[in-house]
Amino acid sequence: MRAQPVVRWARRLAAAAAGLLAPAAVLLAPAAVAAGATGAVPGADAAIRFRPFVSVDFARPEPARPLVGFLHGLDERTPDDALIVPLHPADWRGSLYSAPYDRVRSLGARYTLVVSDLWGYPGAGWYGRSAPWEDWGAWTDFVRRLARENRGRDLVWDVWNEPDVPYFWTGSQAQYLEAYRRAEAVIRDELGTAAKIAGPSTAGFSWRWLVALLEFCRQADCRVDALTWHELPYGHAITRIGAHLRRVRAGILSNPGYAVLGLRELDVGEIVGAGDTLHPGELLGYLAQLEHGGVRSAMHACWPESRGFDTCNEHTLDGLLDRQQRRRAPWWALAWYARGARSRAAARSADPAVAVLASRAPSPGAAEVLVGYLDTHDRALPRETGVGIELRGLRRLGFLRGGAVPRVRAWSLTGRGEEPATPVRIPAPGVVEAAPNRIVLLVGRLALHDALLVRLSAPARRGRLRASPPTAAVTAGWTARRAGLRSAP
Amino acid sequence: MTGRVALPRRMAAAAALASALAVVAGGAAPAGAATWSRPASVPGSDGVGFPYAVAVGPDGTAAVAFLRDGVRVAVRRPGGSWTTARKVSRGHGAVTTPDVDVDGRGEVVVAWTENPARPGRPIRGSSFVRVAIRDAGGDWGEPHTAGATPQFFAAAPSLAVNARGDGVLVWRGRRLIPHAHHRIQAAYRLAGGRFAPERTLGEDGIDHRAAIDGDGHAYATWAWARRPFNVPTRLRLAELGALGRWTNPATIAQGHEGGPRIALPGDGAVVLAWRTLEQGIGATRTGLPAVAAVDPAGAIDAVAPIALARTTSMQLAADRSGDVLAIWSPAGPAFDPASTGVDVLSWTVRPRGGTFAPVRSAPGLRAGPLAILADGTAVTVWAHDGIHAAVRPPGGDFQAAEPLRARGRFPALGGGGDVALAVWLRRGALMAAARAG
Repeated sequence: MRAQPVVRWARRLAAAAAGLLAPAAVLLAPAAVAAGATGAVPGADAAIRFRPFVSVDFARPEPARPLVGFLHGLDERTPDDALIVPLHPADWRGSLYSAPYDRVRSLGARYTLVVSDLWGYPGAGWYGRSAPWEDWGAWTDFVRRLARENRGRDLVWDVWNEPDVPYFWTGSQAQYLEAYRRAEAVIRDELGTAAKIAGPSTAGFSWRWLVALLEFCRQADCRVDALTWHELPYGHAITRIGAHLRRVRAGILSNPGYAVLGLRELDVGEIVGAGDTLHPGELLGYLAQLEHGGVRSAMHACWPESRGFDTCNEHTLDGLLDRQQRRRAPWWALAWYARGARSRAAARSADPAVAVLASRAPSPGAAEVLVGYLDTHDRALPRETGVGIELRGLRRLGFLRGGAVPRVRAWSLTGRGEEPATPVRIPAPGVVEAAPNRIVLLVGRLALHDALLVRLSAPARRGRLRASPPTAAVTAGWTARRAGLRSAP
Repeated sequence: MTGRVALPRRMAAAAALASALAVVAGGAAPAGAATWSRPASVPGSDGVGFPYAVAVGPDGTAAVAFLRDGVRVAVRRPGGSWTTARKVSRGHGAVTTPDVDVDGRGEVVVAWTENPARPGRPIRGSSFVRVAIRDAGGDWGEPHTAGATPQFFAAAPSLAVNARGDGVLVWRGRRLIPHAHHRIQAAYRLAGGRFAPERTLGEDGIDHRAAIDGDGHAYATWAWARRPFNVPTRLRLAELGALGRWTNPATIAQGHEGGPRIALPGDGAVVLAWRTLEQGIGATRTGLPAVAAVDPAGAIDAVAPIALARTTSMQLAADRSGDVLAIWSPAGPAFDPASTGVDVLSWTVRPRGGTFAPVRSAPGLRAGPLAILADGTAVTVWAHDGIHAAVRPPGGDFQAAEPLRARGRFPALGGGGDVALAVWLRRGALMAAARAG
């Protein structure tokens, strides 16, 4: 008799879970369910099993480098430090005029200097100059002068921006390679081993361009410190970023034929396409893939906005702020991301449309999980989805002692277009499964383009995780009821 | 595919002598008795990067050549102790692509490319292929110049030294006549001597490799490239003939051939493994595995291709009995869109005087640098989620992968006597693990 309530709660929870996971099943169907253990509500019908969408293991730290970077859009005062410091920028890409070197350095970021921004582009009449290949001497003199003027500065020298786009380069690929070689030689001549020189900075991922530069340098005795390209999908799937990085790591970075050139890092000079720039879920999608792919740096792109403004020229952190310096939704997502990068824990998603990043200690006494639901641009997606979040390795969280159940809180973040936005506290996701060292949360609904922050902290009242099925089911049902899961889609 | 090339016939005598030596050399500890040592850092290698090279002599003396403010060499004695790394280049010029070998007396020969430019500065003007030699007593001689080259990275000297100390050095060399910018160049030495004089092999090429047998017969193979560059079309082979002249290069295969490896089984044949039907450019090329044996009369017994999955590189080695082992793995998805991405190590064996056996495969393994020890045990190492090794006992199949280290990149391998030494890069230092009987 005493078992009856347990069964009742379990069935209610199972029904809720079934409803929640219907859209999830749509997403899961074509996707390999990676890493997520099959969970079940204890005592429930066997058919009501589900797979967590995302899986986090706090016992597995993962080295990560914060991939917060910006393009242009800075002066001595704006944006204010208070709007930049929480983002912990690691990189800034500019022309020295579009973002002052000293301020960038004071913010703790590395500076990538786009040499061609100072020379000029065919689409802008070469700023009164001529094409480099029409006067190699002028090109090398220009680069040499620039190198001398910046001696002592810690710069990455990005030789030419997007030579695969006619606005920026109307010469041949061979002429670009020669421009690179001449610039590289001059910069090394002036600055020696300390200089970091990067290319080809194509507008999109181009295996052909990347290999062409490296092969050219193998023969021409130039070196490539950083291999660069831009990840701006232009209608292609955002989720191809991970595949690009896997290919580059396996075929180029691990290739002895190129290691001899001194290739040290992969930089993605511009990320976030124009159509994605106002969506926090998409931003997390870019960042999760780039981080898993092991890039050294990634910088946000700048784009025109609806009222004729261009975020390249405005001091809005590439559109993360509006012109009144108010925070848009992606600013918050980036701040959440940035504070967790130094204590990253392993996290994997079974579906490319759901991005996940976890951190063990973004602040004292807390762990966080970031989830984004992004339009991948390559398939139709439901407007909302439920998300199961499996959290393992809880004992490794210093603030949870003796198998305590963590306190779970959550905030959602919805983009409001070009209007400012703030995170909204939402009911905590239900704990649908609990076991020693492991819990499974169920997020009722996450809208497309949105981001979710789940924070774990020490329990307000000390509790114990119990592995026995009845107790786990009671815990799950209780929490699910509180979270109102049954009203979920 | 069969054919004939004009190679000198004196290889037959060499084969007989090598065969006799193989019998004298006798056996070694059974393969199963050997284990890998715990990885330890190579002395003096903190702060190094790629490239580097490793070799092991017949007596177990091993040498690791690497770049740190010049070319440095650390020697591992047969008992396992290391010497401190010694800088063997002079001055502060830019250096790259070292190669190293060890002869039967424990003499260490190291070759590299050097340019007068200071490290990190632009490479200018001619570079030089330089050689330094450490005698069996442990004393390093002054480095000498084997030849010049307009290349720096691509000169890539390939060095081979036999047990008695004869050596051959092949590199992509200097501009000899106007409008013919590069030539494959070679230099030879008799035991105890210097590499000189520099000789041309008559044409340009890439992927060059050197080999020398126990009698001092030297060979070079490369891929002859038709302009525009990086499109090799013919696999070429030349032998150092009498009076120190190289034969005209013979074509072993033509089409899109590249990445040759060469082994000398001692039966008078020259065995080659390479990629045929190549696609891609430069270091991203893939091709179908191909093998050939060229007999002393110049007849070519080729199986090209020998398998139908594309590979990025072939590895080849001969053991003392004259068996030749060729190994390869399918190219990954990064190189070949049709790749399944499944790890498989495939191999074929050409027994002494015989023909290539059917291909065998071991799933879960990868082909990397290959060495064959005195008893015929074959060892290969590779990097994929750490450093791994696999061993094939004489005449057997490759055994399960042995993890050497959880992290590491660019493994290199040397083998001689009963010692295999794997070296790899880990956080700016070289790590080494030895497998001894």
